[in-house]
Amino acid sequence: MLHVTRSRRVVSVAVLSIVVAGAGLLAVAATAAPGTARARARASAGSTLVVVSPVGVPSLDGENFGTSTQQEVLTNVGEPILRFKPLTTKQHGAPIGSATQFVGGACKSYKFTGKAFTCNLGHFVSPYGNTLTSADVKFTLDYLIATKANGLVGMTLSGIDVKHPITISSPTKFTINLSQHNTTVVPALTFWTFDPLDSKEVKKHATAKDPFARAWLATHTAMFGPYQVTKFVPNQEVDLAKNPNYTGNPAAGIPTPTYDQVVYRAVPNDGTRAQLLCSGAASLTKSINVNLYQPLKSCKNVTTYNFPYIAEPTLYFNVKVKPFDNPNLRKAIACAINKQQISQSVYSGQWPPAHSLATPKLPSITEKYDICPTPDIAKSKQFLSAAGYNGETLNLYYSVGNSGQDAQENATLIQSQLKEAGINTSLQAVPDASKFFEGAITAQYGMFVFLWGANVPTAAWAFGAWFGPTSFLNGTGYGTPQTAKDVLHLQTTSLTSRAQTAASQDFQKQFMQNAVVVPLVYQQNTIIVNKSVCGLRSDPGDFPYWQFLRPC
Amino acid sequence: MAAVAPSGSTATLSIHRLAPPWVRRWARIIGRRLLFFLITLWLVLTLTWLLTRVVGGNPAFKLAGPTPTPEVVHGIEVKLGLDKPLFTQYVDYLGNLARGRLGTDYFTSQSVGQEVVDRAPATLQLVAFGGLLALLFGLVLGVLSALRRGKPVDHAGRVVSVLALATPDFFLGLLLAYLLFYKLHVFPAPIGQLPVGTAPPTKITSFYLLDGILSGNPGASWAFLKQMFLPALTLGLIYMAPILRLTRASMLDSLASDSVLYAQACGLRRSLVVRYALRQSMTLVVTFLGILIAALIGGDVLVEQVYSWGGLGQFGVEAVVNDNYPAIQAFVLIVGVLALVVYTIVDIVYTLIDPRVRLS
Repeated sequence: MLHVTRSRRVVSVAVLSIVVAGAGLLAVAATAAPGTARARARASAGSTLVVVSPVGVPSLDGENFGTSTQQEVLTNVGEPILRFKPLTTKQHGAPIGSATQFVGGACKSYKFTGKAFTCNLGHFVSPYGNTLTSADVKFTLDYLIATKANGLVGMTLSGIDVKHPITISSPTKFTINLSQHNTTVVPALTFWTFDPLDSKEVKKHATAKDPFARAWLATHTAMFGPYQVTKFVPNQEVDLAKNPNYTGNPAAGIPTPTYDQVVYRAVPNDGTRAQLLCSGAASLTKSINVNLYQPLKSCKNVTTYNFPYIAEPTLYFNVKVKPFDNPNLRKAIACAINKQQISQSVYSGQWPPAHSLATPKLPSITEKYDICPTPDIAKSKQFLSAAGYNGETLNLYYSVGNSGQDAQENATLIQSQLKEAGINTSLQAVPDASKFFEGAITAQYGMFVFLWGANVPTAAWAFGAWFGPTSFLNGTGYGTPQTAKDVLHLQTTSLTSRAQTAASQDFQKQFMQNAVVVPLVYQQNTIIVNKSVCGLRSDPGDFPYWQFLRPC
Repeated sequence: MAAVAPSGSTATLSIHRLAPPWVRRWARIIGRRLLFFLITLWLVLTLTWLLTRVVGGNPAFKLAGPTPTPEVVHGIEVKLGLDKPLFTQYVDYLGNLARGRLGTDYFTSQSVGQEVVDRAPATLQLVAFGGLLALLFGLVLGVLSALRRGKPVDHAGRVVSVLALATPDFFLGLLLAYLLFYKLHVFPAPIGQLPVGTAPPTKITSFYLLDGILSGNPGASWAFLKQMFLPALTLGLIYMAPILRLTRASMLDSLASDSVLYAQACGLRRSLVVRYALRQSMTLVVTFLGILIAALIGGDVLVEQVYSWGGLGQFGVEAVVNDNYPAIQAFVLIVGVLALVVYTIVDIVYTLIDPRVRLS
């Protein structure tokens, strides 16, 4: 009897411990609840925009290239030299920007002759109180050239003369010099890389060893745009506050920001981001897994916008690697692929099947050169027979690090689709993104699934960089005198001219009809917004400007 | 001739002779452990270094931006020292490590050592709290299951432990966040260590929980505690399972052992008998605790991802994804040192608890 009583006592103590622990949990939970409500209220109150991103910002130095979030933050901190003209017409549920018309930006007015871009600066004052001058633009270009990184590539692609990039006429007037005729420079100047730095402030932190103060720029910003960075925790958090001196360009439809603060938090898990948005604890997110679109549709608090990106998951062939030098084999593969099935199975139908070399977001894009818009196994077998294919196993390379889990799903689906046409493949996974990238552009793979994209929405930039015959990035190895001529035309003709369209379409025709690549789907720039936020617009350069957003 | 031995060794010999036997025994035990510690650490670091270089890609490609050119990539390689022969890079790495330099993060341009120091407190607090919950749930339920063998409590414990063992930690994390944050709104948003709008406490120890209290800002500590609860609960529930099973099995063995049966036969109080049995069974549990702490640090990686915790776990994942060699090396070094320190302490504690180990 005594034993039973003692045993019961032990049991009671144990149960009590669990009860106490549970009570503690509940107590915390109970006090936590109002916090959640407060967070929801704050996210929807209007003064703070809470952006949850899959990746954080490693560095605020744009030339120390990091993540898409880094580019997004810098886009909103800097004032671009030019901006895409905001249009009022809606596409995909929100107003868009024109890809061929431009407004200031830092330039109140500009003149482009084909070989020189002359700008009259508007009145912009940095958060440090310094007024934007031509010297700031010169300092920025000098910095891009000296650091020999991302910006220098951008300057080269847009034709800027890196030896004499700028001629200053006055504190508010300068000319950007081109080494050769290149119309890409105008849209390229919307790109955040060229946003002027506040040279007076930056120079205060420069040293003899670090003349451009890169150590300081890694954790601080000094620019002339609508926001300034007030808190920065690498890879975790960035807080932006309004630049009190920013006036925008109301005449051109460029407003001053409504949100006092923008708080970026890195939330790597897609499911967590979806919960945060749906609950109202976050205002906005991008790049969410397509498999979450459907569950998010049941959430009444959010709106999902799908804008076309300038990127495409694409099946590449390197025509210098045997047996893919045989156009009939490439065509056989192109005709065996069911893009509709890929769109449905891998992207839940959210990313539409692609039939053109680049997304329709680029002007002059056409789908008419797709040799097999729908799968045609009979045609595929004809091509196969013409190619003399003997059943050998072809390697298909992919990397989850390149585009995500969809790369593996794409490769697996393509393998089964090719099998139906009698083409044997072996999947070769390359886990590391940079290793895959290096292999893709150095002809190590004959057939691979690759995600490519351009920063500037022009055919000259996109095709010139990724498929140009002399481009280091051309992973297809394909290049003819005709494609070289087309790229030159794309660079030298006006963006809205017939010659531009003709050169672009000829270029597309050669790549598509020779089945050098098989575009799979058009990647969507998905922005999911809590319904407490209004004013979203799509920018042709893909990076959103938060100054347009306002509480509903 | 023996008298002309070097003076140093004579001195050592005399200390050896002068020291009491237990000091000599402990010096031997600790010396052996320390040597093992250093060799293991060197092996781990060398292996990681080799793997990142051989399996990993070229971080210069990522740093070169969306449209890299060979010149830009090469320039970055030179700047980062990646153009040097592998052996030179390895020697440089070890040399820097010996001087206490962990290198510079390729992407943030910050000192990796400082980044680790900044991030470690968040992880340590989470792991400690999660471990405590695991220990509390595991021990209590384990003892209960053993004492009430075959009863509903025992069955319930078994079901709970099997469920916890079979559930991946990231999944449980998402599930808890979904139920307790999203559906029931009883826990705050899993958006990091502090809610949006809450300023961190003044930095004193870098541990938010302590700093809030020490700097007279208990609100920040409380906010941090609330944010930590869900990830800690996730860790606690997952790692409770092995403790529960081990405690139960070990307790049952102890209860059936000759010494406990003898104590019972002598008519000792039940609570005393249970205490003896508990102490006997603790040797196994203590050994497991070492493994648990190392496992918690590993398991914490995915939980941190789910709750956007921003500690060492998330740091490690970012480092691997980006081929950020210095950060990977630093992460492995810290986790390796922590695990080895824990194992070493457990070894020593084990010898204290169980005299048989000491004798052997």
